[in-house]
Amino acid sequence: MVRLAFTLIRNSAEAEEVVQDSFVDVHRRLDEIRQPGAYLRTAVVSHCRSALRRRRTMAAPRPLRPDDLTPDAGTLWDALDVLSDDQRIVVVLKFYGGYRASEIARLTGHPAATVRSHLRRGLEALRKELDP
Amino acid sequence: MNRSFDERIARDLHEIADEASVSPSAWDDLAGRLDEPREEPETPMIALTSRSGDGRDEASGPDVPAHSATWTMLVAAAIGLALVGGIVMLPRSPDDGPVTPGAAPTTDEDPRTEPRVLPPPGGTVEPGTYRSTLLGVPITFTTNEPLVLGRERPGHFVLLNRNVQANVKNDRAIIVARIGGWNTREQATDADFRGTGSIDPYDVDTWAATNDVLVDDMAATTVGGRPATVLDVRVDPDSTIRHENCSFSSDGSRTRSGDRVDWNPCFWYMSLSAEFDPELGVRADLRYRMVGLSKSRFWVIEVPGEDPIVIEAVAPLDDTAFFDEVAATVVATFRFEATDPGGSDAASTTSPR
Repeated sequence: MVRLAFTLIRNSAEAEEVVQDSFVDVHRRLDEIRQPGAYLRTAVVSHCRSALRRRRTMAAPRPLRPDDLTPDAGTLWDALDVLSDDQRIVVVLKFYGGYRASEIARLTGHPAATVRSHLRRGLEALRKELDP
Repeated sequence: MNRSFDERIARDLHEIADEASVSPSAWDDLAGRLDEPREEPETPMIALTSRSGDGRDEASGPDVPAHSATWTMLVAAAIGLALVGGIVMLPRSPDDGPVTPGAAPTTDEDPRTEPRVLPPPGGTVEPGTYRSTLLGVPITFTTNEPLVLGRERPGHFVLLNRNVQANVKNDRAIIVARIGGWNTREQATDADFRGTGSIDPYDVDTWAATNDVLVDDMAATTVGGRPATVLDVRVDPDSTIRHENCSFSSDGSRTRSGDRVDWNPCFWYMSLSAEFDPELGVRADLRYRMVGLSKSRFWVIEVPGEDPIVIEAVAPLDDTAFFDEVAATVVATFRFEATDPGGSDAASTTSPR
């Protein structure tokens, strides 16, 4: 979960905090939710979105790229900055998490068609950055 | 897009994910947070209680005891496994076709303006448009002021007009719910009452006539293009129903709300209707509490062949301005997604006569 959160917001401390917050959410509702795992994943994505929004609102600096990334991964790290928050979330959930559009729709609360739209536009933007 | 490009994205994202690190104190920090006694905000006007099929509380309001240490330990164990094990994958549904990244989208939503999903309980609902499926039918609404999601369950959600972190008294709220019935006076005052209220959810007149409430105004209107009734209601100050009536939890035990003399009179006025989320599987009979120091404006919105959706604005007795704010924002922008995709039939903001 921390890896997923990190890939979404690219900051280890924030990712850890997001996952902790999500587990606290689950803990508070353990006796009322039937599928804690599903709720946890949704909470992680929601908290990541909030973190990204806060970062944008506060005009926070871009996440610092780790030194030991391969050139390709480093290029992708930078390219992720051109995506909107929703595009980045969908791309990560699809290509890192391996989720299908309907699953991403449940995780994000967006219609599946919107998820596909974000995915298409996100990949188009990434291609422009990675294969200009 | 082609397979090699997709594979490259996946490969490099996994490499990025490998850069994640967890602080050595993560486990202790989390265990500490889970062990902390939960601070329950004061929610006198919208406090809820509920009964689950197996007799366990599912509410998280002031009537609910804290989770047991056993659950805390179980969650902490799960946290450790998740932190060590990394991502947990969702099972794929067999009827879900693969996503083709290059496929043409079926909508042209602008990601900057499309509805957002509500945050988890306690999260801030920033100004904007939101979408929810908790009511069994997809709906959208817009708020112009920041709110806090007080709680959400299949069948309802509650928006608080306050800052939870600032521990400001909760005196304004918006409840959006599918209701199965209004409670009779007997049901409204019976600590042992089970199930949904027996007054038809569309029969507001009968509810008002047989309960200890005063209806100040009532009018026909439309919300989201649907017929609706809007009414202002307050508890009859001469009611003999006392606050002690609201001082029990769903297991019959007394709670601290028994001390709330300022809640006089206090009773349970409606019950949620049904189970809308098979994944969460929450049962039906959440009950809402109405207290003497507040006033409510209800919009009872028709859902053909089904239980209505009720939007309730709750505010101090002398604060009708909040009702108008809710009417001009959440109610005026309320849309039924499936039947009103164009949003052309805007809600009326008619105030009660």
